[in-house]
Amino acid sequence: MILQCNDLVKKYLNKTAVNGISLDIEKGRIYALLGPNGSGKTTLMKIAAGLVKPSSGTITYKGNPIGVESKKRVAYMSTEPFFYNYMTVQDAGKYYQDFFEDFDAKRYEELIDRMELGMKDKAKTLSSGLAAKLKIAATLARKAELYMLDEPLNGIDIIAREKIITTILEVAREDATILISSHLVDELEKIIDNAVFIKNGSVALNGDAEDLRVGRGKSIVEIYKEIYA
Amino acid sequence: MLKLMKYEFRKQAFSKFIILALVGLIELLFFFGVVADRENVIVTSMMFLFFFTFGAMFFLAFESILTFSNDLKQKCSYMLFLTPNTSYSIVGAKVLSAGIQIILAGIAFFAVIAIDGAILIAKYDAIEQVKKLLLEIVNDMFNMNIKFSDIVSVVALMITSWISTITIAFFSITLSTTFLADKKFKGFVSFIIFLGLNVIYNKITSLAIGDVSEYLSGLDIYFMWQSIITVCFIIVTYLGTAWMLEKKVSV
Repeated sequence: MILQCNDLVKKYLNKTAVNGISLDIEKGRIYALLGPNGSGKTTLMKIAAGLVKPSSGTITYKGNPIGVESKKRVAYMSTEPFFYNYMTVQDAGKYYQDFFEDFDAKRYEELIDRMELGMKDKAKTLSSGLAAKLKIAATLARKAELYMLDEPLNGIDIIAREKIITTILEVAREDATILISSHLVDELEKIIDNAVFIKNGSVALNGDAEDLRVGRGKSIVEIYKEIYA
Repeated sequence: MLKLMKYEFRKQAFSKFIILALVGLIELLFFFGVVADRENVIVTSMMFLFFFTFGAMFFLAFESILTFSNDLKQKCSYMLFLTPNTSYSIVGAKVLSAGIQIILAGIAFFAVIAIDGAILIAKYDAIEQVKKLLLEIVNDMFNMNIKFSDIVSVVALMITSWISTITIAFFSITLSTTFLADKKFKGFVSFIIFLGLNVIYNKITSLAIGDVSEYLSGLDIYFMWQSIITVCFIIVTYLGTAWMLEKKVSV
């Protein structure tokens, strides 16, 4: 087990974002965290990344609390742009290289080239699509044990989505686990091993994608519609 | 921690270039006044330099506090808090880089003012009289038994007080963030906490070491005790800030 949540709760002043989630994420698999906006996917990922502190419950990475060691091994990509305003694409790469031992600068250059970005481009002047590609390049240039990608296809046009999915699959190694949150279920259906459906901050359904399809006689897209419609 | 400090300096580099450019402009005005022998221009440029020095020193402290506040409320905070560093290292890097910037800026401004002063003394006889007057004042001060330890203790107190202002502000912002998250009036609450903590600091100081009037024969002792209490306050507010970030604050 690489990531384990037990009865995890995150409450804000007048809202419960995560409501008693218990979930085990196994090594070497691709998970889809599915659910509409506001269902709690992002908060769950941010708790696992160490950005948000849970109100109660526990979350462990390889049996240890989230902290410095997990941050060395987990590559998290948020849905919002997060680079400093002064940064160019090259600065962003140097920053990652300075802080993450698993960052591969050569791989970053390749990905930047593939995403049709320039090293001198300013992060803050990039269009939303290009900014999303920069986040993906920086995150996937790490040789992490767990990748958590929050809405990686947001703002990406249909043609480029294929390129992003191919790039995500390139990092899917035996020892790498990928957790992707999205509401674009049809785009993910063909690549995932497991599906976790989140509804109102709780796990509505969780299981092996193929077992769910066979067991219910429906595609993941249809199950999604059944749960959230 | 050095890498964290490097990026703290980088985040605030733009304002340093602006400060440097403005000092350069003031100095150009000063040198024009010296070369063209225009006393009114020299006086104006020196006035600008004095006011700008105070303004810039306040701005440097304010900018460190503003950067910390932005790091808690803007999405670029992910860049900082996703790195494999403890909150103790992150806050430590911020406090150290703020302290280094203030000390270096203080030395730089002192050097510029000293060079300008030396040029004026070399050029104008009337300034020579001012120099004599200043020397007399200094001699009088030495006759009053102003010791080297007095100067050291005053400088130590100035630096620790400046750094404690920053750590108290960090603590206030973090404390308000723990229970107000992104609420609009969070900044106002932080300011009230900041004022409250300064009142507590002054009370503790006066309770612990008494009034300055009790130390007239040994001011250096008073300043050193006050510096020690200030350092304790820096440590407490630093540890409190880092603990809250580690355990309570969500970004």
